[in-house]
Amino acid sequence: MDEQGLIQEAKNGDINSYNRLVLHYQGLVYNVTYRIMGEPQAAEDATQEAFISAYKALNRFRGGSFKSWLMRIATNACYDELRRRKRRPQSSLDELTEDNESSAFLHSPGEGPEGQQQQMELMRAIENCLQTLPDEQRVTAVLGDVEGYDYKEISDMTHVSLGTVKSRMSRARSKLRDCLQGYKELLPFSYRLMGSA
Amino acid sequence: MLDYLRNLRKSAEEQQQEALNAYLDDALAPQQRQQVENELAADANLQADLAQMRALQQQMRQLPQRQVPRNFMLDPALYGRPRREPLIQAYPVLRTATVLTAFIFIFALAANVFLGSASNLASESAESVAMIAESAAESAFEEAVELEAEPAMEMEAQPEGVEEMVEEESDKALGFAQAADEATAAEQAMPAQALGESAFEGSEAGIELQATLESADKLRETLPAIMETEEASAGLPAPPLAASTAVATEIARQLIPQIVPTHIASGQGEELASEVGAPDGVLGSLGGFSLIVLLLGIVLLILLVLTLMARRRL
Repeated sequence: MDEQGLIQEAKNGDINSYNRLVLHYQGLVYNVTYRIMGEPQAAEDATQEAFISAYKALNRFRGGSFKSWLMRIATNACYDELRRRKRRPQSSLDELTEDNESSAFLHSPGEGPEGQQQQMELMRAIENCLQTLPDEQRVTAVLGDVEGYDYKEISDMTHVSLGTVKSRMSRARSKLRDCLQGYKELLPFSYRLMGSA
Repeated sequence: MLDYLRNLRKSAEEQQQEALNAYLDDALAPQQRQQVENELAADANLQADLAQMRALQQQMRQLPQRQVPRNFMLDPALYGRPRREPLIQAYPVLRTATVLTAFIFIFALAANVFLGSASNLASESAESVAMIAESAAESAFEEAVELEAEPAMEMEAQPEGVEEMVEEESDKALGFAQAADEATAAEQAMPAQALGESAFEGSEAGIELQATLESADKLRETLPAIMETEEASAGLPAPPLAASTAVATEIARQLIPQIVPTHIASGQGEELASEVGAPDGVLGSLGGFSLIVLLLGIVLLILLVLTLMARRRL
């Protein structure tokens, strides 16, 4: 895929070129928004909002990593959605049902039925613990530990200093470790051993 | 800078944890990295912490990718061309404006503190001058009364015009003293504006006093001619009257060296008052210059918010 060519064509108003970019990045953006939002529907909304915003603001993209630029917009969309939800808290039965059904989308590595089940439970535990973090720490942990961005990229995406990223990452991991102690039986043996030490 | 200040508030344990996390993410400078490695070599608990964090990170990296529930492609019928890039980018303009405003704000704040101490000096000077003027006026008045009490002068010399002038000089001096008194009282009660006004009044009193001195000098110069006329008409000597005028003149003259610093001090007060424009009421109590600093602070805050919003839109 000629990313720069597609971006240029999209800037000139070729929406089909832009849609090819959308197809390429939608999985990545959706997964990040899902980890941050913690709900499939909210993640869908944030993802759609991110792609619309990115298209409208495409002329402001001045080169560099399109992926990072897109992730920055997706992160902003998540923050906006989180703020909206804080103003109008909502919890519906549908969301709970969807959450239960969401395991159908999980793809875990094949380890045999029992191991696979345990791995899935561990992943769910981590996702639950992620949702207990404050928004800023969750975003930092998702971008850093789940998606593998470095501190500089996270700093650019979240508009905070490197020191703040460092601090948020440290606090997020500390809280995640504490939270995961509640799921000791799911943790790998080595992790349990160290946790109890 | 902010990171440095933030680090000052962190405990040693927090800083160590941050360094350990940054070490895990390979985000440390070589020197810091070496320091963490030295600490790790000496501390088994730290090693355990690092291993646990590494395990957690690996687990998180293995979080399964979720399938996208639908396509997020945009409908060509709904979306036209992307927005044109504006000729003037809001962010750089706002950023520059914010930086400039911040500098002006800091300068104004420093100037406000400096001027505040200068106005205190001015008020102290105005107060001391007012006291001197008052005492001088009292003595002038007493001298005038004493002279007035001499019957020989009253009965025989009869230069009524001259006597009235002496009384006028005394009255004026007393009036100036009262004005200076009022200025001092007002200055104690009021902030910047009142301070400026009182100092200004003090300076006016000084100026008028000097004018009085000049008129007294003129009077003394013309006095011999008057005396000669009077002597010729009444055939009586008039030196005591000349002496009374001279006393009043002398008292006023003594004030001159003390008036000079009043001018300097009151000049500062005047400048301050005129610069400020000193509004009344609640704002007046803040002081005009403080008001400017406050407004600058508000403008700075607004610019800061706008800059952050513009940055976010990039």
